[in-house]
Amino acid sequence: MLLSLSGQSQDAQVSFDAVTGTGNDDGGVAHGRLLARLAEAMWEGEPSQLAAVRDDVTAAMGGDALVDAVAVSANFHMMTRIADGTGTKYDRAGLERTAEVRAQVGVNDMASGQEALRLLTHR
Amino acid sequence: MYDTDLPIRSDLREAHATVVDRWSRPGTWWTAQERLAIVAEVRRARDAAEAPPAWVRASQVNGSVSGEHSLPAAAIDVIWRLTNHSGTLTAEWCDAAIDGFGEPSDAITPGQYTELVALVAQTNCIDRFAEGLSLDRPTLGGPVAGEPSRTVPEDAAMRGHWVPTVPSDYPAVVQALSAVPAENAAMLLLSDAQYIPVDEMFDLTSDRNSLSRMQVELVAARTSVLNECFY
Repeated sequence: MLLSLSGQSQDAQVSFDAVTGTGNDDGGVAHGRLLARLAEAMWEGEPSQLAAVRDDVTAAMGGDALVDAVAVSANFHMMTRIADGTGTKYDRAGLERTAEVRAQVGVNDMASGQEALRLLTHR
Repeated sequence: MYDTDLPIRSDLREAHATVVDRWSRPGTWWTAQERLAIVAEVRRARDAAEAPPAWVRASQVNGSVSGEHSLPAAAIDVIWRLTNHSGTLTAEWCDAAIDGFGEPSDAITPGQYTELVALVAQTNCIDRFAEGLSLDRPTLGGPVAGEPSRTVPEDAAMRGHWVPTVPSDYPAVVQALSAVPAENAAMLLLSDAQYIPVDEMFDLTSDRNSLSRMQVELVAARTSVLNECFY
């Protein structure tokens, strides 16, 4: 959701193809596809794939950007586990606010999404 | 921390060093030995050639977990499930884990559960940072003597999360660990250095270090989708 709002605040046309891994373009974000590839390589953890993406990010964006992007991705391996492990969920207002983005990204179909929606209807 | 020529910022190095040092100190609910055992078990779960599927308790798989383990079986199951299948958790599973999956001797308290989630999350964060840059994972220190503090904030209560929280104006995920303030502080320390300080989170034009805010949010969103995290 913050990607969408950040794009709006800068009058940028942001698509979620890079977020969902369904597109080959940058989704309206400079080096978006390359940064998504880095996140995917960190998720997979396959050393040669990671090495190749690291080289590409360094060549296109520099070493500082490589370190910062790896740090952001690592941070969200933490935050997702905190959210999922503690049952952190949106309230009704939050769900309404993010409905369009959630539909575009497909998170409602994920197991965590179905659990969140199930609990909300039982509260 | 981190023997490399890569341009790792000093605030990031210091945040990681502080959190890694805390792993070997008594926590709020777990001893130093237990906290180090938790971190080591996260690494075993990450490195497993083939992790058990989400619905199988790792502690019940022969050869998966040492029989001499210092942690309750329920804690081991939480570590493996949260490390390898974090997007599959349910409220009923959390309640069952706290109840020891039917074994009273394996039961853990909500405070222990919250601290366990925090340590699993921190270890996944710091180790994946190292792996992402092809660096060695931080080495663990020896356990520091002392007892867990067992302190509970006065206003901690059940408020919609699966664990007790303390009310605040922060987003729900930033409240998640608030009933264990030391782990909440560790989460904020890491997140401030690696992502965005919580007080600046909704300043959507704020670039961060070498990345634009949109680039930061794209990496955050792609990583969250890969982890199948609804929040």
